[in-house]
Amino acid sequence: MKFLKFLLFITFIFLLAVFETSWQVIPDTVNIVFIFVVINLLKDRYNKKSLYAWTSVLIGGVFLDFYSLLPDGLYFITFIILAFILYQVLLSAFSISSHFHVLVVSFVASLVFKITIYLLNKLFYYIGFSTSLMSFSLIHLISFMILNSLLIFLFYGWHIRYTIKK
Amino acid sequence: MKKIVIFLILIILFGSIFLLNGEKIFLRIGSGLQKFLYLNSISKKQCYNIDKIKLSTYKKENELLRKHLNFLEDSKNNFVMANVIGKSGENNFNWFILDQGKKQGVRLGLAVLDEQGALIGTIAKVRENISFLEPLFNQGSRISADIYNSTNQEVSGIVEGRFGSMVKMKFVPIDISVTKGDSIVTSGLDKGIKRGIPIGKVQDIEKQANDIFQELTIEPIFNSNFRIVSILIP
Repeated sequence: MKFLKFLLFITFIFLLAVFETSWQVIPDTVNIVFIFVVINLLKDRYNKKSLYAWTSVLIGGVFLDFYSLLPDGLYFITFIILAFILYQVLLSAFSISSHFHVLVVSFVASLVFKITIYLLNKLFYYIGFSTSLMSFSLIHLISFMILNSLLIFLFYGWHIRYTIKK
Repeated sequence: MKKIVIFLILIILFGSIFLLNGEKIFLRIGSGLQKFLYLNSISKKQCYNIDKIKLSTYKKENELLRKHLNFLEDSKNNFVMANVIGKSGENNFNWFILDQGKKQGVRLGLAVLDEQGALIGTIAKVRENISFLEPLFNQGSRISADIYNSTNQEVSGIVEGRFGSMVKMKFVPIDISVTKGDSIVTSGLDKGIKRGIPIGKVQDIEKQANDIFQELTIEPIFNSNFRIVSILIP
């Protein structure tokens, strides 16, 4: 039963990646796989179910890489770095029982995600792993941070309210 | 024990996708859904029932295919037609996902055209059953091109994307006369791209007194709402 649940979890992440790339209703500045991964990492702090959190980190990265023009492994490494920073720095410094702190954590997580992708893309480009070089757009970064952190805040708040019994 | 099993599943998944071309499994599951999602989410017309939606979709697809075949038969080119099944991007760096890959003969660097035969971009990455189209206006996208000006002089330069939103042409000597509206076509110097594929028209000209080159702003002529594309095989 648990194995079936796990497979459903992987399928759900795959569907999120498909929706992320093909459903044009989702704006470019929103990444639903990223939102799902961060919510799982925050939940992990609360529930201690690290298996699902790490699966979402690794599988989310794999599926985003699968549908990405950027070099293979870019999202995979980015999510691992994000998880590491979230666990080691952000979640030890902030209390996620406070709404304000959740908002701050998700805001910083969005920044870390974007900056890591940008820097890794540059690194891959200069060492010859990639021919694609993205430009830096401050407007895109700010809108990504605002939209994604708000969505994480809303979904995480909803999740805490309806699914986790204190 | 459980963690080891999970770890093994992850390794197999990662290996099967990137090393053994296992994306076929996911593509088969996902491609139908992707095409449905993509076509429905970019369609702006309101339809009132399923039959009408289906009919209008087939009608549009039919018209597009006829247009593609018209210019392709005239030019006697080999081609692969592909559906656009997704669009994504990071920091204004965009890409389109096409449902044809290595198996169907798609290779890196090939030109991708719209239904009128105008260049949209090039193939930047190929997997077994899907490929990725990098549009002209992406930062770092470069194609060698010629200008056909009013004096019938042929001048070469490099067309490149800027900030994911505009297209510029560089390395055009300053003494060459270029006027707004001159046509830009591919020069055929890039591997896999034929000569004479229309790119766009000159929209603006920037000249500095001390420079040896002038920079042109290009207005691409491809239909920005493309759903079916042709990949030219040289």
